[in-house]
Amino acid sequence: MNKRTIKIALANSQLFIRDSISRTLMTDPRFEICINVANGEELVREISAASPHPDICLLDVQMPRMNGYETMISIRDKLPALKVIVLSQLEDEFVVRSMVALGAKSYLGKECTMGELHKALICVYEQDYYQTELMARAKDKPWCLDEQEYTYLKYCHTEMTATEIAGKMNVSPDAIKCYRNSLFEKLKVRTRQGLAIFAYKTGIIAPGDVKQARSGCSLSI
Amino acid sequence: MTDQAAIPIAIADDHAVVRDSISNMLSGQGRFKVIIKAANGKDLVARLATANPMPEICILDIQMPEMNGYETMEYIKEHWPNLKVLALSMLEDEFAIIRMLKLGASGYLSKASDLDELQKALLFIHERGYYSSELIASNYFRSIKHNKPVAGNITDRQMEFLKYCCTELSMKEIADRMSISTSTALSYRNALCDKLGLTTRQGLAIYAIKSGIVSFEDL
Repeated sequence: MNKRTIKIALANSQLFIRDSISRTLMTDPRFEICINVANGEELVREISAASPHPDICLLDVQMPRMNGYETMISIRDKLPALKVIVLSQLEDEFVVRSMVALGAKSYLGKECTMGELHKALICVYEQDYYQTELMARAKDKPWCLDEQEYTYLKYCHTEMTATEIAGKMNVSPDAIKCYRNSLFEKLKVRTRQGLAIFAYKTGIIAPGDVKQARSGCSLSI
Repeated sequence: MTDQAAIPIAIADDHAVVRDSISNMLSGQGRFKVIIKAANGKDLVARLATANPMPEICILDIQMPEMNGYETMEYIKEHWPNLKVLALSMLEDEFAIIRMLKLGASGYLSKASDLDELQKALLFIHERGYYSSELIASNYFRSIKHNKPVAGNITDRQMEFLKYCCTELSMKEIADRMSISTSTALSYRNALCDKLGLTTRQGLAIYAIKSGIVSFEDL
């Protein structure tokens, strides 16, 4: 029997959830929370500096600055041995399918209880995988986006013109048109507003990424 | 502390991990006892209708499917005016805070807080009937200073219109869904833009999402 503690890195934008999870897991000596951060950027930085690396990362999708998709891509490229379990309030099939395609070993949604979280951690640690109903449901969804399309989606909710977005992304305005049309087709939407809403719904944009001015003061969420 | 003395609490939050951890933490302390755990507003009010005993305080999330926190809050005040409500949400903007307080919440706690803060807020509400914080005070102050208490001035129909703004429906289509004329729909749009200091429909859509009027499941 393996008695070694399972080292866990926690990345979730809400302190309340991090506190909830870490307090519960701390009561079990098999677990140790070694990293506890609010977004993907901090996560990747702290894991790269940690020795030894954590065994499992419990990852949120909707995070400001670096979302779950970008974090998964970064983990896949830099930390391939790290096992990721996604825990998110988003249950959209696109999100589940994409995170699993990017390498997540399990996807836990809103209905996941502390008991199931516990089970998933042990199962992924010992058997490398924990299947959930959400994963089964999303399994046959074929469409995944490429990295440029994810990036473009992050700009759709802004008031920037296509040319301005092209400038930010270092591509030509024609390339932007091409991303847009390909996304229209893949996502079955017909307007840029539709893309912006999709980006919200799927956590590509986190509430914390959006600033909206009102009465001269900037309100951020 | 005996079990009878524990203060009965209800929770409505669509995240099971949150419900579980609040309930575990509170039952570990003995002062409070979670007697209702609901995944959305509709579920909550159904359980309140048959609750015996009634909870003293209800912890209420805003962004929930089926019946969101605003709708639930209105329903609670209409049916159980003595039930005290602590709003607990990831939203930290003026609209959400002021609207929940105006609808009758006894306090507002952001999910950027931890479980200790939650316990403090519950005790405060139990002992004094309200819970205030820096987050509440600064937003209240700002809304008074701007003399634009936005949250109170949005009607139910305008709220419904805001939900439709987060779709790809045209103005004509929105008007049809709401059984109003296109010019009435446009007047809603203009009134809301004016109140919220926004200029475009996309701005309204973002506002509706970030203030929890529309939940992720609605999109």
